[in-house]
Amino acid sequence: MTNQQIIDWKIASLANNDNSELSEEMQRYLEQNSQLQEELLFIEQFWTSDVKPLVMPSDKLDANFYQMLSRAKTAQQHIPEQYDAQQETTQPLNDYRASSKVPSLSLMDKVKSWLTPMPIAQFATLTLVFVLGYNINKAPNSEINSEAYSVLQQDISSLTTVLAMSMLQKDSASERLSGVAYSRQTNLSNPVLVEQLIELLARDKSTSVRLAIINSLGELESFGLFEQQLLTMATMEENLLVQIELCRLLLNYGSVEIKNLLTEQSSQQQLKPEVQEFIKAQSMASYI
Amino acid sequence: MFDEKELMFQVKAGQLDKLATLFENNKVQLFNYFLRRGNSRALSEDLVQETFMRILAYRINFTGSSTFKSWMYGIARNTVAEHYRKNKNQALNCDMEDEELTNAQTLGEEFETKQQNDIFNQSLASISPEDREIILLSRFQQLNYQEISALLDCNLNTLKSRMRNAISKLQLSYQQLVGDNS
Repeated sequence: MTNQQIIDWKIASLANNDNSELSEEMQRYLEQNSQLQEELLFIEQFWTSDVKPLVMPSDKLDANFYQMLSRAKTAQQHIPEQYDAQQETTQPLNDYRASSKVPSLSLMDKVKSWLTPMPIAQFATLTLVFVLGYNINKAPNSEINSEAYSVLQQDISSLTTVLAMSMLQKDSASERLSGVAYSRQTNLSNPVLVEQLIELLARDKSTSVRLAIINSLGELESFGLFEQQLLTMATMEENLLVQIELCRLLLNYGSVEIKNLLTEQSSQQQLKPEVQEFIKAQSMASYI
Repeated sequence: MFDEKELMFQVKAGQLDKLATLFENNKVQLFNYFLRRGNSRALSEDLVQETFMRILAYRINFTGSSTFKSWMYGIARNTVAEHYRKNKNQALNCDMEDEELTNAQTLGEEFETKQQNDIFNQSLASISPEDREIILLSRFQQLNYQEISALLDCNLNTLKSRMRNAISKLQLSYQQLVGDNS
């Protein structure tokens, strides 16, 4: 009998709410050991007192979680499961993999896992992609190959979209910048991604990320519903550099109505003097 | 009561909706785990969100060799470690250390209990993060020895010995604080 055994019993009985009593042997041992008695009393006090009641998280946590889940489900609907899982586990959180604790598999388990349907399907998909790629290069004008090529392009675009959306949520500004770069590769064809970019533009702390987003929004064919939102941002923005770039974006790619509204606001001196000067210069340049 | 491991397998199979049940069942405990480690409310909420994002991203790695809780806390530990690695300059917002002991005189049983709890919290904050974590996982997150040993990647006997050491240190710190306060 050791102190350790009795302490283990005490913690287990408290942690699991186990009401089993001390054995006679343990009791005798305990009676002779006053220091251990004190230790057990302390453990019991600590375990049973309401040291720190549970604190409830705010509703924001729920909102963020369900937003993330909804995005994941949207992405899942667009992309086959195998691509989805593969993409999420390799690219966006690649650095985490090294630090995450993944249960290690034995050699036999690994060999067995190669024979399961998933790796076979992955291998078949890779082979298919290779064969399609080879044939497309061989006969680029073939109608069938063009269709296959466009399907492949769509798949790649969907994967890049998911990757970009994931990177845009990262804590690090450099990773969010990569997210913006990936967004550009998709030609901003996904409205959910555009919405996420504009949302990030409104609240991101990094000026570089915001400027990169403004730059990439120039790729859009039309701002559509986001145009008014961009105008509001351009008017309210406090960062001079971002404000000027937003104005440049709207003046270069916005609709005629938005350009007029912006010029009007400038002439009514509702904007900072530097921005007014910039808009004036842009307007003059457009006449030339 | 639903089986969390089974739910996680369903998430792994593509039924992402099931993650909502796991989230609802664990969010408060997980949030309090981050809080008790000394993080602010806002950061703790962000860390819960990040943990579930990783659960979703790494769902295919769930093998069921340990309980879902144990696997989830493993991800949570990595999430917080990575956060502090990336933000080396960010000081730990120790809510626990912010709690000052009151010097007012004992007015009743309720006050005594509160004061005792304050001292417990101070003692917890004063021991090393490694010792504190073992106690937190067992006392507050209600993980059993098997789950904690899987999580910390150590054998059961080592864990028991570490737990005893941690409790001894906690008791020592408690006694010192009681002495200082009396």
